[in-house]
Amino acid sequence: MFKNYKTNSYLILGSVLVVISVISFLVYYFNQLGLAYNDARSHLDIGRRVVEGLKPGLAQLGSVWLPLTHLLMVPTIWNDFMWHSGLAGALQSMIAFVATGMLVFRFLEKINVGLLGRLVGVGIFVANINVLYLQSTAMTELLLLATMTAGCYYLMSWYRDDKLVDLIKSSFFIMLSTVIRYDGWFLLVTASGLIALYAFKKKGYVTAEGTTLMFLTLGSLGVALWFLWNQLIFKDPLYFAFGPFSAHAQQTQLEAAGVLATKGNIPLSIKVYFYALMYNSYTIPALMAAVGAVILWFDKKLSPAVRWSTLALLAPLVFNILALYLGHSVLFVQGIAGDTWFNIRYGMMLMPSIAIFAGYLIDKAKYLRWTLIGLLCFVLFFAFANQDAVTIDDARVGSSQKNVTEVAGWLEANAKNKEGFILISAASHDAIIFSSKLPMKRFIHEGTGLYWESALQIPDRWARWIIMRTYDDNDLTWKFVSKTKGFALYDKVGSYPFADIYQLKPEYLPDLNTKPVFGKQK
Amino acid sequence: MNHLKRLSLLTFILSLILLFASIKGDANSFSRNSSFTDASTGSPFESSSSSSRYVLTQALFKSRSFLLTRDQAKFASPDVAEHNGKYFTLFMPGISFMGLPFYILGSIVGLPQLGTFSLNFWLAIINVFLVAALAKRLGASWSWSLLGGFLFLFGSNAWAYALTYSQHHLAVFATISLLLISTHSLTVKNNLLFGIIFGIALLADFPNPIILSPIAVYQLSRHFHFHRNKINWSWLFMGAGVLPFLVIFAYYNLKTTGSPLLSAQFVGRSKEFNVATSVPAETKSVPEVRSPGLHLPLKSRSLIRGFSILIFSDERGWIYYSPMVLVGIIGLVLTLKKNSSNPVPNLIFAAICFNLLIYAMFGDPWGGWSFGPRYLIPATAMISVFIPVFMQKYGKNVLVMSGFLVACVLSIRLATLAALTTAHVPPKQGAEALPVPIPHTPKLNSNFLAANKSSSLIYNLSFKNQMPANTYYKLVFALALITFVTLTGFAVNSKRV
Repeated sequence: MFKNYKTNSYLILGSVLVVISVISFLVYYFNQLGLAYNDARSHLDIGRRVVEGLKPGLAQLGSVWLPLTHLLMVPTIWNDFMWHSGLAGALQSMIAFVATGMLVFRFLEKINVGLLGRLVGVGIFVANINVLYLQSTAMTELLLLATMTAGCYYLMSWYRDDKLVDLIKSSFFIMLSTVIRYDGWFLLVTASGLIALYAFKKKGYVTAEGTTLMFLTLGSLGVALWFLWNQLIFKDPLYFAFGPFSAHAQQTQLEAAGVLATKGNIPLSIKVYFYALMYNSYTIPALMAAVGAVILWFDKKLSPAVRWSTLALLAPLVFNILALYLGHSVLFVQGIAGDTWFNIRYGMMLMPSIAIFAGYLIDKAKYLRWTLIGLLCFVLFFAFANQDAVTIDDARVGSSQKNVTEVAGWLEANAKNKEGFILISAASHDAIIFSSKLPMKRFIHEGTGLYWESALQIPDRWARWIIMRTYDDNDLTWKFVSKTKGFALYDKVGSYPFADIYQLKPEYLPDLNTKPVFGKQK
Repeated sequence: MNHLKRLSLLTFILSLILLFASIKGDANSFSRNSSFTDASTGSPFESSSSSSRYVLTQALFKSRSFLLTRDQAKFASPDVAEHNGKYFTLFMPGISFMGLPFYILGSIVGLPQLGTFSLNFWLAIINVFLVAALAKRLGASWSWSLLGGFLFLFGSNAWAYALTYSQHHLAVFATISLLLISTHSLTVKNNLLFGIIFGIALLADFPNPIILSPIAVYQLSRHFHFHRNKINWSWLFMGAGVLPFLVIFAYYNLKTTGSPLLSAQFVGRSKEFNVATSVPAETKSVPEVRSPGLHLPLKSRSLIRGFSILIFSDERGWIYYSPMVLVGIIGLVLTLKKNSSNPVPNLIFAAICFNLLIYAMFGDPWGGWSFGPRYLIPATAMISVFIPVFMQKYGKNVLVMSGFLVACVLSIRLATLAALTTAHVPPKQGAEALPVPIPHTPKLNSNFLAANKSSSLIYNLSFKNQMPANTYYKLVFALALITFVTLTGFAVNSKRV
């Protein structure tokens, strides 16, 4: 009977979350905000290049981003609708959204929180437009949240019940998170530290060593494979960290431009992340979570081991502040650091933790519980009524947006029904590739091997159109093509905010290659 | 007359003297032919929150109308609305209605402004005793409770706003009264009174119903015993109490905006008189995003800025301007920690949270040009209730008592400074944007005194030629301190009665 009740409650919760997830996706699909993030379009293009293009294959996963989300797109991205609607990427975010909601519920259940507290916890996670928006896009955040929350959940279960299978499950999910975003790497380190300390304290050095190694064997598999991948494809295991397209390279440019203010400044790093956190969570849930966390850590009704394990939920907080301080990450909060928004969505990384701690507070607040729920409802009402979503602002007008409608529209109108390749740097203009709605095999980019190398030397033989930022050496196409003789054979036919369009003069068209000639490249 | 009655009388008399010593005005405003054209800093009409309400009272008396003449509208600007060529105040009309008898009385002796403003003077005195009564309900002795009431008024910006024609003291009156009623039995009389006071609060200011909603919901819930299948139908009298005020409000709207459901706040400020708003413009280099939302005036994204301004900042920080509230906050937390079934601390916690939330989410948490967090005056009254509750228990600890004394002296000092000078202090950005920048902190009030100016009517009428304004300030501050120390002495030595 009880088992049925539990099963039913999960079924009902899961169904509700699925409905919310689908409705949210449809809302952002129809209002065309689902692909507003420049990164969302790039993620979709990476997945597409694995299955379609002049040189398809796994090597197209590249080194800029960790590969799991792109790999998960492969089964569906071949379909044009799934690619251009963003659903191939959003699908995994939607599943992750439902899973995270249920994990919050289960986490709270396992630390003896009553039904009301559990529901409020899930409600805090779900009733957030930033979460609902990102679960409707082809971004990586929701999948990361799901795997990290699952990792933390099983870690807490291991602390609570001391079952080895929970530790293995935790390491598995944390391993998955390490191949989604680098936040997962920090969680891996944090969880390993927590496990080692706890096992050492409880069972001595030998057990601690064995337990930690066992956890790390599976947990660090993804990291090890990533190093190996970079060595095999790019001949440098640290290519992802220091390569020309790495976050480090981007941050170096920002630092040179004097806009990486958080680097080396711990108070500012804390302040910037604090604001991002508050804006993403609508403040009151985060404040309630802070109180809930303190109450949880001092609650003697919970075993010290369980309380200790919940520290893992704070890993994203420490990671993001550290990353800002060390200059590995950039986050602009308008009015605090930078005159615009950029990467403000990082503040969402603590949403499951906020939901869990706030749910715990509701459970413990007893007489105050309804007051707290009232305050939450009050703030959430205005958040929804005013459509307060800082992540959408970032995607629409912040630095995370890239409105390439004009240049992509030109391509769609003028290149779609004509023969010839388009030379473009995917590192600089993936959004244009995506938005043009042309097949990937029409583009010569960095990942097309011989086509790219040849086109950079004799563009007039390979590219009918060239898309690049004139006079910008950060754009690899300009950097090399502008120095070739063939560049003089092009007319500039369009100049747009993000790129200019060059078209080969008609008299040179007879010498142009318009068909793939290299066959299958290695 | 027993000891406690004497103590109450003493508190009443000393409060009266302190308020009397700080009434705003000068020889001009006191004269029989006083005009209200003087809106300079330190004058009774320095803020449009007073002048806009005052002109409505005046229009009610002189023209028997809710509408303002063009001159009145100009004087009330920027807090004036215009609709179909009609001018009316941007504020809710409750204070202006309640001030009418006081205006009439004042007019009889040729002092309409003074008479009208005395509404808040008397409300403030009543609030001292209401706060004390609530503290007593929560278990504090009457001596400590009186001190709590005294500190609410003379240890915060409540003092400065007792000298204006604004809504704050009526909001306090309503809040504390309703809390007190909610501790009494459910009779027809109490429910009717509850409804009437709730209705008055609604007419006084828009956010009041939200701030009072936890108390109203609790009071209503007391009537329903679902597990016993029993309903006490006297709750209907709560509705009966509110109803007349809703009707008045609808009628007022009909006469001003032309629709019973459209109030002045939704018409918005008239731009005709072109007075720059005091709210600092937010820095915006990113293009304005027009999201598909409703664009309601309360915004969740403003919360963090609002909290910072209303709690900690030197612009309007609650703790900065009245450090004594820290004692109250500790008292409240300790009371809540007991998880007692007594609903009053929970209700107070809820009402304070809503008070803070509403204004932290509001676009102008500064309250325009003002002194301290004027929007939090009801919260100050409620938190003051826990000062006696806490001090009675922990006051014998030397460290606690030392901290308490320091916090209170600092609070009283700032409160006196504002009461005797001005409550017209710009927000930081506004102050810095002026052609000649001025301070945005109590430094502005100190500068006012240093220029040998005071807003006190008594000083300006009787002592201006005898002593510098600063000396007068020191005398009033000394009197406030003596009263505080006396009450503290009585409280410490009192038995728990």
